[in-house]
Amino acid sequence: MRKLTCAEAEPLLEAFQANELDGVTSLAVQEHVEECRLCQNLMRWNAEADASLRRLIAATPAASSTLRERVVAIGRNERHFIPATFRHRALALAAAIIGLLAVATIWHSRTSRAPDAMAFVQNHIQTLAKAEPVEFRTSDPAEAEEWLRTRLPFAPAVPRTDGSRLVGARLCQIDNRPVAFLLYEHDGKPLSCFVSADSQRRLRGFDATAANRVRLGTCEGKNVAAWDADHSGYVVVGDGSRASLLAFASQSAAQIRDGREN
Amino acid sequence: MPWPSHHQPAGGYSERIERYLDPLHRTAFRLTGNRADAEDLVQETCVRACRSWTQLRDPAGARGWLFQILRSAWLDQLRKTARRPHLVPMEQDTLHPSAECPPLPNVTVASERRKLEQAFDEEVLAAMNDLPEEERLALMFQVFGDLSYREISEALGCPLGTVMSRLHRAKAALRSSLSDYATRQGIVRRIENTEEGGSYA
Ligand SMILES: [Zn+2]
Repeated sequence: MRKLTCAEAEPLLEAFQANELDGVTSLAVQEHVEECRLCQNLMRWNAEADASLRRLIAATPAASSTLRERVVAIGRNERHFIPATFRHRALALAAAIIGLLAVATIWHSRTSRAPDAMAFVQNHIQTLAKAEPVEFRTSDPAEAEEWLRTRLPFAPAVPRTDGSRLVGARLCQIDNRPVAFLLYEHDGKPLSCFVSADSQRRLRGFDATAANRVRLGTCEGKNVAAWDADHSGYVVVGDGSRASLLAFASQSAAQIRDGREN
Repeated sequence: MPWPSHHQPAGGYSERIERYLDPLHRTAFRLTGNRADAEDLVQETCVRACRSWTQLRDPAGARGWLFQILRSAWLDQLRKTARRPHLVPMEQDTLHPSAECPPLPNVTVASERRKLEQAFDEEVLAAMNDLPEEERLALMFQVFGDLSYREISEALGCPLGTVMSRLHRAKAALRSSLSDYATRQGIVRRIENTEEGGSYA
């Protein structure tokens, strides 16, 4: 077999060191390297770079348990929920279609296909799993209103209730519609409040209506409440009890209706 | 919006995706530079993978296929954030010899060795991030994703020869950043006897 020149062997050194050459070529490179100080030196530098890369691998974090759960849940729930952190409109629309089709089968086991509170519950769960669940941190509802007003085609009123503290706001899309997301701490538990320009009346999955025309439901173990006020639809999802959520919802509904009608 | 009518709910996805999460996350972490963006990128990759899981004919090809999806999600993200990736035209992907390096000395004092390693790691990381995007992807997929050359060629959608030349150029860049550093620091002064040959990493 013809001996390799340095110019031929040198570009093959990385594949040779990574054991990626076929037997014949690998042997030819090895024969060359044994006699070539230049290539030996390059291989030593490569080995030094490889050692650095191995240390970098060791210093790079593996997947967190939260990510693991989220990612496995995508497969489990592909049939009945919308992965809610989609950034692409097209993808969100596609997911909305499959989500809505599937939601109807799971929730109503009938042929009806209507929007459902599930998308909001899923958004709540996924948003809280984020390292930074809000884009704009503020405990001042007026500041949050201002922030949202400049970013949305409608101006949501931000609830202010006793026993709750606003954490901040972010924008999201549900059913391919722009939605304001407000995060609260209510009775020591996180509470997500979604405000959209659409009536929450179109949503299915509620089983009771309480004071102040607040509808109540339970979804994936989370309590959900919804009401319309000031030309907006409100959906709140909480980790706390149903009574606690209803207190927030009922007070907010009354206060927003009063605030805007006076 | 087209949605394949033959779409099946993710059979096998949940069982199989887990084993690839660490390599996917490590690669995404090095591509994006932070954990939050890395998690978003992995999640986006998995959403796309889950939707088209039935298109994966051969489970043995899952790694290359998943990284192909990761790459396209990453490039979409770069496009959206207007960070234009530096893509290498195919015609540049030929094998040619790279620049020479000065002889690498042996540094045997443990404390000096540790200091040098730390500096080298920083140099390597910086050099890696300066690579043209397709070379950077090839190298990151190999290192952090643990992909073989064949899997990289699937993931990048390019011939095996192109993978070889991209990795060759990427390694040459790391090498020269290390030797530049060593020269600047005066570490490379003496011509070492390299008689004992290269260390086969
Ligand atoms: Zn040579």
